[in-house]
Amino acid sequence: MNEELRQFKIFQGLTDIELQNIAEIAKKEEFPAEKRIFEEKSLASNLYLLLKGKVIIMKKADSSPGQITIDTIGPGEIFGWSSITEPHNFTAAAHTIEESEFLTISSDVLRDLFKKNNHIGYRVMNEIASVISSRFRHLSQQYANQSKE
Amino acid sequence: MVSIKDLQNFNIFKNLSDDDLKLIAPITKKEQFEAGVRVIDENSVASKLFLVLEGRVSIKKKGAFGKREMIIDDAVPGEIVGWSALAKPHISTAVVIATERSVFYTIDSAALRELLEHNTDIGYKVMKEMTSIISSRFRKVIGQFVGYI
Repeated sequence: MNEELRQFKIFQGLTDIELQNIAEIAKKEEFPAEKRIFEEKSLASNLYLLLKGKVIIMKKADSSPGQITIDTIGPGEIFGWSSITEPHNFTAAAHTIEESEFLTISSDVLRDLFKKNNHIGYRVMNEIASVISSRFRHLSQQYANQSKE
Repeated sequence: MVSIKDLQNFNIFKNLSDDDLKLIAPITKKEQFEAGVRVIDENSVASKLFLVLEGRVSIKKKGAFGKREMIIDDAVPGEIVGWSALAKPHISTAVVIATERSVFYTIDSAALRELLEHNTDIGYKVMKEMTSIISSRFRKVIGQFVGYI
């Protein structure tokens, strides 16, 4: 599993032994197309790493019955980061749009590992900050582009 | 003179010991900006992390095709701006403008990153809080985005 983990940017600063620590707590899961992975506002207990397929992140609109696409996730990307940031509930829902394969990591177990090994914790949180910041940049730009003035 | 107690009041440093903060204090300066002054320019190199001690700042994003800057958040004493100082690629994601005379602690980002690299126990605690701060701002922007459409 180490080679599969290595393709994820969030683990790029880890040694082989540290990656092995992550591999020991990761599980492989498969979902068919059009399957809900998690609901908006539900308890965020897993971090998801997409190996194959495509996932869409959606949120209910305030003023219309439909849902708005917040992001689309492809192989090599992560989602469900609310599991490792407080208050640990999902801001949006996620579902597959193609048959998909993930690695899932229990956030409780991952946080325990970070506490025991600060080097892993620092490296991974450093990369996750970059992932969230990049998605913030993208989404806030979409929001600003909605301006009518 | 930078106060350890003042530093501890910021969430990003709330889990650090006095000894940890004594390493951060020497790379911290106090700076003041008058109302209306642009503190951070969007897409500029994020060379400092700003901790708001007094005053208020607006975080804005410029829309496409010359549209006006939209306010996406504000920050008050106890909060930080300029998280790109610690999140790669270290390019500011938004504009920050002092809406009243504001006083900050500013921390040189290169020096802070070096400190965190060499002390990953401090690094983990800081980046853990940083991801929560970025995540919280991301949630706010999602809320604004789905409310606007």
